[in-house]
Amino acid sequence: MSQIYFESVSKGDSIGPLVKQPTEIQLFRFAGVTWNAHRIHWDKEWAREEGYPNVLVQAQLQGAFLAQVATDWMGPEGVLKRLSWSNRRSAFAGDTLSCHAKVAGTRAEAEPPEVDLELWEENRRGERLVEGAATIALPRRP
Amino acid sequence: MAEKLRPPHADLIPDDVAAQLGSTFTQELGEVSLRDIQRFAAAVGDTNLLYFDEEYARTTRWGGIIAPPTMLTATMVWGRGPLLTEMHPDGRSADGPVRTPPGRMVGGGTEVELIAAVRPGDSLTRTILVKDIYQTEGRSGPLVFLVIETTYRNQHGEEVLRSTSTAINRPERAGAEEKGV
Repeated sequence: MSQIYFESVSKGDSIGPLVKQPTEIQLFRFAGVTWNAHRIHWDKEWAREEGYPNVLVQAQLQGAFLAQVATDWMGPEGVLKRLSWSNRRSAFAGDTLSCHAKVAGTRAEAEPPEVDLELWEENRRGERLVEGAATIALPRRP
Repeated sequence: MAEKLRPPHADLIPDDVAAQLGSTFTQELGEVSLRDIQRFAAAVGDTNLLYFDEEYARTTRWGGIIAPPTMLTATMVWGRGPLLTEMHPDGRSADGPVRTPPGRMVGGGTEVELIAAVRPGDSLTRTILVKDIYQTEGRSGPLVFLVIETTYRNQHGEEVLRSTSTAINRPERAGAEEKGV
């Protein structure tokens, strides 16, 4: 895995997108590992009766996707210090979800120096389904 | 932003829910295993070697395999969870010790502060604090918000993670149909 250093990061840099296509199998497995049996995530008929077009992608799975954008970028010596997100609209099995990040700010005076990322996930229609933020400590170039 | 009404001025927050404000609940969560970590990462589709390759992870600042950052907050139920007879028809069950108002609940957001790495073999405890309860009048009807702060500690008593989550409840109010809620 490659390492990014603080000196090579500038405000406005674009990161990603990390493209995720959650299938019914993925939702089922995520439901299993989180021990969340909520039927809207695995029973299509039930989801339709609740007014959704298909089974819903778990809010926390989408949070994990945004976390992955940040951790893939920061490399093994980066430290994710804070992560937040809000699920604004629903995502469904079969959607193509693009997870993006952008450098919102840098703090050279912090030790180790820190970077703030703006994070978001959008679907193919360009709708932002999830919006979030992360703070990462990065190493200085040796 | 609509005005936030708090008990006793919030008519949609039942007394037993309002009474929890400021209460804390501590739960033993048990051990986080290497398998838990790797199954979680596999389910997310995150192949980061820090979750899968001990030899590689040892060469990094972490000194070994660590848990993915959202694993603790994503785990809905720890331990065995409810028995089948304790579950609702929609697959949900009473989630933890915090009482929620009647009506549909949705997640309103999660904030995670990562304080220290969680490693295979760690035994975790969490303390849940009911931080805020309020109601607002949204465009599509009244909403009740529950703000829950959770602190996770490992077997050494060290804080490893703190999360704040907001649950949004659409209460069932008499006469709601007439208002088109």
